[in-house]
Amino acid sequence: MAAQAKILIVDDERDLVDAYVRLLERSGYRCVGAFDANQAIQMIDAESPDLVITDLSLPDNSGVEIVRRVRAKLPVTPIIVMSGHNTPGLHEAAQAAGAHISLLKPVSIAELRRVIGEALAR
Amino acid sequence: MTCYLGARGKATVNSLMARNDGSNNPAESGALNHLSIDRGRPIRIALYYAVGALIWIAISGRVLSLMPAHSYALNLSVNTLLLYLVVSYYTKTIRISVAAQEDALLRARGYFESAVEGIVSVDSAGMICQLNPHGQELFGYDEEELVGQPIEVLVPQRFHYRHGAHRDGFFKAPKSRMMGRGMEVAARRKDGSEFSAEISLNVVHTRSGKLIIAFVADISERLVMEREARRNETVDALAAVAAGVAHELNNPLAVMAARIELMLLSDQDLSAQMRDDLLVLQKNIERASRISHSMLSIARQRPGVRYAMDMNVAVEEAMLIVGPEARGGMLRYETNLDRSLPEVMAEPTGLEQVLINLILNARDAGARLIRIETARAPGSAAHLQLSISDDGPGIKSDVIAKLFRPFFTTKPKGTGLGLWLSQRIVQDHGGSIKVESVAGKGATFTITLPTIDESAAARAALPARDEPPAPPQIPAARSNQSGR
Repeated sequence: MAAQAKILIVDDERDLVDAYVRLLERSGYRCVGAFDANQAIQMIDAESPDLVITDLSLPDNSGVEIVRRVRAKLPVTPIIVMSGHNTPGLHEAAQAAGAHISLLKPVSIAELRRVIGEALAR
Repeated sequence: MTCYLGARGKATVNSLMARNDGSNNPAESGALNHLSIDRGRPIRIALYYAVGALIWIAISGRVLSLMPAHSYALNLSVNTLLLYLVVSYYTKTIRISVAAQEDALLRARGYFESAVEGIVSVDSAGMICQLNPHGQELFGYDEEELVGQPIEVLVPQRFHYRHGAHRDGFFKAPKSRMMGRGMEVAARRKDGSEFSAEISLNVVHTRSGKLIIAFVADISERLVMEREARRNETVDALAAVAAGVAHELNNPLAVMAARIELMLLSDQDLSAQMRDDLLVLQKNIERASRISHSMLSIARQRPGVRYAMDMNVAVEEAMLIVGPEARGGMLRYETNLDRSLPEVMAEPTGLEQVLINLILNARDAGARLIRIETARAPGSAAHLQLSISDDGPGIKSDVIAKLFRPFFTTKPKGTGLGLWLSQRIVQDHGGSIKVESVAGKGATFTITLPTIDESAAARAALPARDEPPAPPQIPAARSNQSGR
C-alpha cells in the first residue's frame, strides 16, 4: 500500500514542492503539490491524500489551519509538519491541531523518506 | 556637621558645664563660642549676660542703685536676687540645651557608625577629618592612620592630578551631587587594590570651615551583574538575528539539497567527475544545514517537554552515544553512580545534550579517562550533583573565565556554542554548572540540579502556564544539534 500512497505536499516554496514531488515519485509514491492554503484545502477535499506534508511557515500563518482541515476531513491521515524555524508554540499548536511529526527544515531527503515510511506503516 | 562634632564637640560641652558651675573667668568666655553651634544663640547671650553681670558687680565694686530711695543693703539684695533669678533661669535652659545637644550628638554618631556606606569627611585643604567604621572596612585603614592624611590616599595614583582640581572646584561651588555621574569611580584600598565606587558628595558649613562629606559605596559586585545582564541581552539579540538568518537560509538549502539529490538519482549517465562534484555540493549543503540548525537552537525560546527521570540514565545514554572512539586511542569511562538518588524533572534530550557536549569536549582536549559521578549535592537535600572529570591537559584560568561565553572556542572548527548552550540548558532546569581545573591535571565540570520535589515546589511558586498536551511523537528530527 505504501508504494501507491498519495502524498500531498504543501509549501509556498515552489522549487521545493517541485523537487519533493519528483523525488517522492521516484520512491514510488503518488504526489500532488500545493503552494498555498486554498490550493491545499481544495486538494484535501478532491484527492483525499494518504499523507500530508505541510510547511507551517506559510504566508498568513495558515499552516496550522491546513492541519485542522486535514484532521477534520481525514481523521487517520498522518500529517508531517515542517518549518524553517522553531517559533515557540508553532509546533505545539500544530501538534495540538493533530499533526503527528514535526521536522525542522532543512530536512534531508533520506530523513523525509524514513519518516514517511514510518508514518504510513502505522 | 554632625560627624565633625564627634568626641571633640562633646568635650567642649563638658568643659562648659564645669565652667558654668563655678568659674566666672571672663577670659575664658571666648570658649563659649564652641557651644553655640545649633540652637546656641540664646544660650550664649544668656551666659554673657549672667557672667557679665557678675563681672560687672565684681569690677564696679558697687551695687547698682535700682531703687534710688532705698538703702545700699536693699539694693544689694535686689541685685543679688535678680542675678540669682537670671543665672538659675539660664542655667536650667543651658542644661536642657546641653542634654538635647548630647542626644543629637549620640544620634549623629549612631548614623555615622552604623551607616552601610563608607563616610569620609574632608576639610578645605583636602585632609581627611573622619572615617566611619564601614569606611575603615572598605578601605582597609584604621581611622587614626587616615585622619590628617590627604584624601588622595584613597584615590588611585592615576587620578591624582585630576582629583585635586575637582576637589578645589567643588569647594568653590559646593553642591550635593554624585561624583563622576554615569561613570565608574575607582577607589584605592590600603593594600593598593582598587574597587569600583559610587560616591556622593555633600558639603557642610561649620565654624571651622567647609567640610566635604563623601558617602562611598562599593559597587563592584553590582557592576559585574549589570555587565553580565547587558552581555546576555546582547547575546539574546544576536541569537535572534542568527535564528532569523538561519530561517531565511533553510528553504534555499532545502531546495538545493533536493535538486542535487534529484540530479544524483537522474537516469542519465553522469560523468564520474560530475557525480563527484554533486557529492561535494551535497556534503557542503549538509554542513550548512548543521550550522543553520545550531543557529536555531541558540534561540531556543523554551525548554522541551520534561519528564521525571533518573539522572543516571542520561549519563548512561550519553556514554553510549559518544562511545569509546577517540583519536589515537580508546576512551575509558569510570562511573560512580548513586542509584538511590531521587529523580529530577528534566528534558531528557537536553540533559543528554549537555553530557554529550562535556564528554566530547574532554575527548577533543585529549582526555583518555572520563570519570562520571552522581551524588546528592553536599549541603543541600534538595539538589543533586553530577560531575564529569577528565585526565586531559586541563583548562587555563584565562580560558576558564571565558568558557561559557557564546562563540568562544579553542577548537579550530568549534562554533563556541556547546558550553554556552549547555549552561543555558542547565539553567533552564533550575540548575547550575561550574568548572574547576588545574593546568596539567584535567578538568571537572559539576552540574547541580534540583530534585523533582524541589522543581515541583519552584513550579508551584510560578503562575500556572498552559502546557499543550504532548501528542504521540516519532522522534524523527533532533532539533538540538550539538553546536560544537
